[in-house]
Amino acid sequence: MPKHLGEPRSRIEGALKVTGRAAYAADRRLPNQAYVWAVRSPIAAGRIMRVAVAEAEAVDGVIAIYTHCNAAEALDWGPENASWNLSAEALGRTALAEAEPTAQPLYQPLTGSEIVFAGQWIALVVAETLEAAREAALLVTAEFVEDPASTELDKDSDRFLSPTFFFGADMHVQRSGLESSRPDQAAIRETYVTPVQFHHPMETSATVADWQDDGVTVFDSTQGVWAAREFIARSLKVPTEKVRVVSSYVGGGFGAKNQMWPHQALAAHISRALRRPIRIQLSRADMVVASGHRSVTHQDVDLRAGGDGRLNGLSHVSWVPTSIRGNFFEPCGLNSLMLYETADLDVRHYVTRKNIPSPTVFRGPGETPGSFALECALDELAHRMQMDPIALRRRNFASRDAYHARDWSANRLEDCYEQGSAAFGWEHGFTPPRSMRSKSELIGFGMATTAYPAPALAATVRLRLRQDGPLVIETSATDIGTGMYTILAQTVADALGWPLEDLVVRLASSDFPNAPTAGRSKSTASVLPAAANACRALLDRLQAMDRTHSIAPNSNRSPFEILAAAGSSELVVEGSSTGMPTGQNLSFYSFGAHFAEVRVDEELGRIRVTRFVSALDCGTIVNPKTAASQIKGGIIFGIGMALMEKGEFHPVRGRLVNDNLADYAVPVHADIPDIKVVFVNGADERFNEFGARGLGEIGLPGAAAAIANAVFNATGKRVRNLPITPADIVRRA
Amino acid sequence: MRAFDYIRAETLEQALLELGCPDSRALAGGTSLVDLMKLGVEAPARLVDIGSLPLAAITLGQSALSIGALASNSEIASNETVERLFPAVSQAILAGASGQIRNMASLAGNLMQRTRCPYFRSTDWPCNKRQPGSGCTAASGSNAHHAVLGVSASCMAVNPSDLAVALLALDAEVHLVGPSGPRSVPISQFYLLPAETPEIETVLRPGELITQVVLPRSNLAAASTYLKLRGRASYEFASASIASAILVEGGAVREVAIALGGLGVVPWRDRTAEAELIGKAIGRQSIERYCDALLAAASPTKDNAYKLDLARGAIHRCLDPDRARDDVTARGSSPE
Repeated sequence: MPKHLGEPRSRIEGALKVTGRAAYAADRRLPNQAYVWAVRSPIAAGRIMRVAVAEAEAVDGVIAIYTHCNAAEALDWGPENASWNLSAEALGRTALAEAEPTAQPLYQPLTGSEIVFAGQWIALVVAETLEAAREAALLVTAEFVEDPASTELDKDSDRFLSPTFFFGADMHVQRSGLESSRPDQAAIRETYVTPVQFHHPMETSATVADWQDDGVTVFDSTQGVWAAREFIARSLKVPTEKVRVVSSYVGGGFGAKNQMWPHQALAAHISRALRRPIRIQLSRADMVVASGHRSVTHQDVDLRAGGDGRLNGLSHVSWVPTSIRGNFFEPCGLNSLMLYETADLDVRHYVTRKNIPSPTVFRGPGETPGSFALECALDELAHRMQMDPIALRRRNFASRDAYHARDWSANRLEDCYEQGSAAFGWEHGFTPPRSMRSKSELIGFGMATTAYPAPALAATVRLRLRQDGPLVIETSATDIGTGMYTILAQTVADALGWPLEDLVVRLASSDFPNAPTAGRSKSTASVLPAAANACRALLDRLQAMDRTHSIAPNSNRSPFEILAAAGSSELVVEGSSTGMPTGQNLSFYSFGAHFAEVRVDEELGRIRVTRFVSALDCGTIVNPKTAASQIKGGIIFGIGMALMEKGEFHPVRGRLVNDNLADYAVPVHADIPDIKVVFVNGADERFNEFGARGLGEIGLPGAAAAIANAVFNATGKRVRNLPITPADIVRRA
Repeated sequence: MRAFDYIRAETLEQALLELGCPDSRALAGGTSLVDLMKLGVEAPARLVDIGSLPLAAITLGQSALSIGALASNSEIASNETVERLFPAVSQAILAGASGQIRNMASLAGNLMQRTRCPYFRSTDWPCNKRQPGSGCTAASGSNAHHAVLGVSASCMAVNPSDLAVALLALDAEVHLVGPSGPRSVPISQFYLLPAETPEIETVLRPGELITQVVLPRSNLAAASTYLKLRGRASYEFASASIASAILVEGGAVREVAIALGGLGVVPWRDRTAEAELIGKAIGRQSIERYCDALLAAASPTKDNAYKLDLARGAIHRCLDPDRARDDVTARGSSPE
């Protein structure tokens, strides 16, 4: 039997996806299904005085229009709802609780006349067709009393809150080292700004809810079906078992589908009220106001080093917004807490409330914007000291996790530097800017470190062995494009010596056993150990049955024969994992090094990334093909972050201007160079039996910094405010 | 989308008759019009499909090339005569949109496409072009992609066509037919500055159709190129673009034609500034003087002033014989 783990296997559901047979949430067409289109507030702060719906109601095919005036009664939709503590708006609330002893109510659309951000849903139109709903939505008019709104972060005049504990770390850490009397030979003190970014997965978020009798089936694009079930059930005030959530395929999430958003509950409420299936699919413009975004960040980084490059001090102070009635903020300082050794450490966060839609988790929340600031500052320090940027990082290599005061379970970052620079052709030593040119283009090399924690949560996997069919693997874990279908099949095939093609993987129904929401790169380490335990349970059961029902035990009978001898048509077993390893005081992280080559035509303002190499330590690689795809995807995100993406609030109207894919540029194929991904071999044996860590996010942190550092190396221009645009390069004045 | 009547015109006469009815719009490829109907920006009561009219021929005559109004962008771009005699036209088309859109989009539709100004394309922003008198949102900020030339207090939206820029450099004539018969207009007079009426974009009268575009043959046209600058490598409208051709004889400029895109509310050309180049040696200084004259009328904002530098860079790259010309021409047919 061929071994599958560690081998590059194509996605087992790939053919279904590329031929359009994989049914995503919005693909469901249930009999009598109705469609919803949202009406958004054009103002960013104030109060709704009147909503006029008569003209919209007259449109052929319109079934109902819900506003804050009628939603409570018609939909049993109210702000007193306990479910809202499970919504995206609540994430971060405990971190801000100390700074804000009297918490404001969480934002929930259609529950009041208050407007707290532009784009807030003020009405939902339900119609027989999407076209009718959309047409009628244009005819809904509202009158407002407008209040002054503030969307832009202002370090000098905004009122800032000090958060306490978020993402497993203190948001305010100040430590003075014993060696701080060492003299400083070089210092960098700069402010870095990262832009508002949108997740924009290919599949916009969608929910199809079908209320029948006393319960509801919800086809949803969520990253977590159990979490969605709990949220929707509590919102409906029905027992959890009355809600079934199915999310068989998810067309990308990146965090936009990680938390719970209003449409998921609203679809169920409307279906219950109208007794017919309801589809709410967010429009591209809705995505940026109703499924979160990455907020702007302003980060002050202060590095002080001795003559040998060793850090005497690292200060990383972040100024970030959250919304008026939400709580999430970017914890930018996470990597600064643990990635480099420093005598003094000062990592702080300050949060201010703005009239913006609530930000949320977004691929590498904290680490992604934080790494841009930290890794650019290190590059600036290296340049100041005329050092090889890798040598500077090696000089400050953290031999243990000083913040948590723990050893690493495994840390092969130095191998990443070595293998990555070899694969890239990194010229060790100090390369001054503007020293490489080809015709009209300047060429620059840049690098950066990436690091990301390796968490795991408890999960359960069920196996169904039937007389008459393939072996079925069931778990509620989602595959958001990451490869979960495939790596589960690989795991079970290897553990049981089973042909891969005779396995069926069923994911992401709340009927299946619990698995954590996909996010923070934890699925692989949570689900695969559970699958391994399920396989062991199956083998144990088969062995026991074989002993009970066979005259000659330990014969070479197939599982099917054992099942038949026992007179059983199906054998169902479950296996569980327990999450993080216990009894070891260790820090579990993945590490990596990015290397970028850019070419810059200064006269034409043209910046192109022409090569990219990443070397990563993610433990054992379960599937090199899907793993490399994850990393490449993260790097492509980094190219977008470095050179293109920036959500823009209109300075007067406070509304997002580029809420569509025409005005918000992301990389196209022609922008993507050859990307080489090198996995540094080595199992993290103390993490799980596979030695594997998740890797959905680690490709992104540091990627934008590597590019910005390469642009500096090419041009001598240090751009600290992303994205780096033609305007930054071409400006003559 | 508002419900509409759909009429398929079989003949030009029928099309003109149908388009005479109020609230009617001509539909060809639909890549722009249908898009705007979905957004609620356009809401015609009647669509007259002119797609099957015999107006797609590309014909080379003694002195000019005629391109039918319904020739697809892809057909024009890959036409061997166009590539040979009017390379900037082919390059401009290939620098825009995507393969799928170019297959559907017609020549006339390309010339009639509306601006990509985000405030125009979403119905709940104030916009004088979409809703006269409602105000210009771009004027108060977030205007990095807006025009620096030809702007008025009421509108600063960029004309998005790459093709029109090439046609302007090549002195194309736009042929029209309407209820009162045929007429033709130089493309330099086809587009109207917004002034106080940004909703009126061209000289096309109600009920009129474009039938063809005629390009005069010349050595200058055969030497033309198109360079488009934008943030990403493909599938984005121009931050700045230039269609240019120059003939130098004995060290002096004999003929020159330069049109710019991405900068103006309409495709932009300054013949007075061009005339200053004639008879002079081409080089850093004369090009800089041309740029000064061309851009003297610009009114940039703090967000879009970089476009002036982009334009200067592009003009130098295209006109200066000392610069690596192959940088431009080699990329003409690439996704860049």
